[in-house]
Amino acid sequence: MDAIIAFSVLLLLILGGLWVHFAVGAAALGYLWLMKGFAGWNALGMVSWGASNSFTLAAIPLFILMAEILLGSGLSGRLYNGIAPFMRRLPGGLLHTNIIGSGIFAAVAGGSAPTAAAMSTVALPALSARGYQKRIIAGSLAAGGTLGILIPPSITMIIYATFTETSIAKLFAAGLVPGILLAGCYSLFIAARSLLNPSLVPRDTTQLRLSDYLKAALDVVPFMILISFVLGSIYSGIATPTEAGAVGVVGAVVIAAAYRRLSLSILRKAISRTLVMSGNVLFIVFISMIFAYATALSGVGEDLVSWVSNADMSPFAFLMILLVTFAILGCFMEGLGMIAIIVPVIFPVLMAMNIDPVWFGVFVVILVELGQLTPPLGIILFVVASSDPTVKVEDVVMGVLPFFLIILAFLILLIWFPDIALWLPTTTFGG
Amino acid sequence: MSTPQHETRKGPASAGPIFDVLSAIVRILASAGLITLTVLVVAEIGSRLLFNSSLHVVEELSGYLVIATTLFGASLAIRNNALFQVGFIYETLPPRVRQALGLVYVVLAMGICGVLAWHSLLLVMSSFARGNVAPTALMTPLWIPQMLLPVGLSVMTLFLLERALLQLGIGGQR
Repeated sequence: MDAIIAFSVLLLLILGGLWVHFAVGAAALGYLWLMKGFAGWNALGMVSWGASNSFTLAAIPLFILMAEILLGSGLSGRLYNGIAPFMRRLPGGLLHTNIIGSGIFAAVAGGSAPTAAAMSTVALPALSARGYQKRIIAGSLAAGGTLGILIPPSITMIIYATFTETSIAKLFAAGLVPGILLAGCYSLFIAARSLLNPSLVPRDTTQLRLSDYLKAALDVVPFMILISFVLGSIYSGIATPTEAGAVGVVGAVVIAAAYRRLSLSILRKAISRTLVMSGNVLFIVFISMIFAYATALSGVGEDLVSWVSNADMSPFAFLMILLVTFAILGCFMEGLGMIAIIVPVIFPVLMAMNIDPVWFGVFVVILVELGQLTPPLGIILFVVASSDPTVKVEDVVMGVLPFFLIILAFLILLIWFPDIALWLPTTTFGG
Repeated sequence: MSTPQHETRKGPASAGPIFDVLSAIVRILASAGLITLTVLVVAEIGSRLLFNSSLHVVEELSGYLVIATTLFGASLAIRNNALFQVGFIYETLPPRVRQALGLVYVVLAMGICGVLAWHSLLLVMSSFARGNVAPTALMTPLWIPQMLLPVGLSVMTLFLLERALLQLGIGGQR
């Protein structure tokens, strides 16, 4: 009963427009008070200390800073121009650049919003000017943007790992293949769509010389080096994810300096934005830890286990229920908050059902991707729409709809073939 | 989720110079913390690669810097009105209701920060009284880093107070 009240209060306050952090905080304090009265608050100091004092979480501001430096110094434009010449002859033309550019930027950014921003600000104006249909540009950018949290590094995965004590390195490895496959599905769809309806995409007939291709490739190289340093250091076991984040920050500074795009004001702005963004994200984690403490104390997770086993529910049915729940909640809740609130409650059920926590991490991250694309509060929709004044949120929604269905189908595929996610971590780290 | 507005061009709304000064101090401290965090972690990797030995302090100090980044960063997010918020129902309410509800929210948030600040202060006092130290090479007396919690939460409360003043029509856009 207490749990129902606490979750209802939480939902009501969030929908009512209270800052998400304080909605969670109010629900957590209320939940503790319902169970134990004011004595329930006695451990708050200790819980707060445990929730915030974390070396692992240090990875979050570092990965945010890395992406902000690359974004602020305008290097995403270089990346875009570096990929474009290689894509222009494919059916779908430069739309593939949106997907591949997002995929590459996702490998240096920990989130979807910076990934979508990095590509949209460059691609949306450029492709509209060339006569590509706006909806399909916007849709491909929004879909590409969501790769930000699936392709490592991923802040969403770090947070999932924090609440489930799963290995971040394994999660990062598990996200890579699904991320690349999903990007491949997007590209296949774009190609098929453009073959069926050639008017969506103008033909590029300019002749390029070999030197043009080489020059373009050179613009992608720094990103590739940065990615191999950051991800390579994690997979090879040289560095923890936090350390890889710091390597990434230094790498981003070096690249920006090498392109003569670094200035004190760019750095200051990047740091300022990082602080506000990290404060937002870390404080959600902090306050959700208090909520998780309350749910653990109440034993609602165990209740759920016995309820699910009494109902004789199959893992597939349970996953489908989660899919629907996340899809609904994703319409009006932020992904990190969803993970921080729901995952601790359902985790005991997953364990009881022998669902692999690393696999489930990837599953949940893709569910969060769906949430980022659903109105009224899909954050990526707004990021894409805000990068070009002539593009409305409605255009992005309509454009992203087929990609949304691709993601749904991919989730089902992931349930049938868990090895899509588990193959790489198993071969890299063993069982 | 509404997109966080990072910084408005005019600068955040202010309820008085004291809040501007406080915000400048918090920004400098938090920026220094973030840079220190990066440098420390890089130094640790360097030391391991070059000298094959760990500095033994980085993990501990980074944890403390995360607390500072969390609470000071959240303080700056409050100041910039950039905390995650779901506005689509709230924004359709009549202005009077919105203002009243906004005030209720700020007071509620202040209460939450206040409760957390108070309980973390109790933790600091208990660590101090018992002489607890961190189980690390530095053996840091725990009350020192734990002070970050009540301090950070109090700063957040102050910026929430500023929001309350702004709701009441005191101060405004610079």
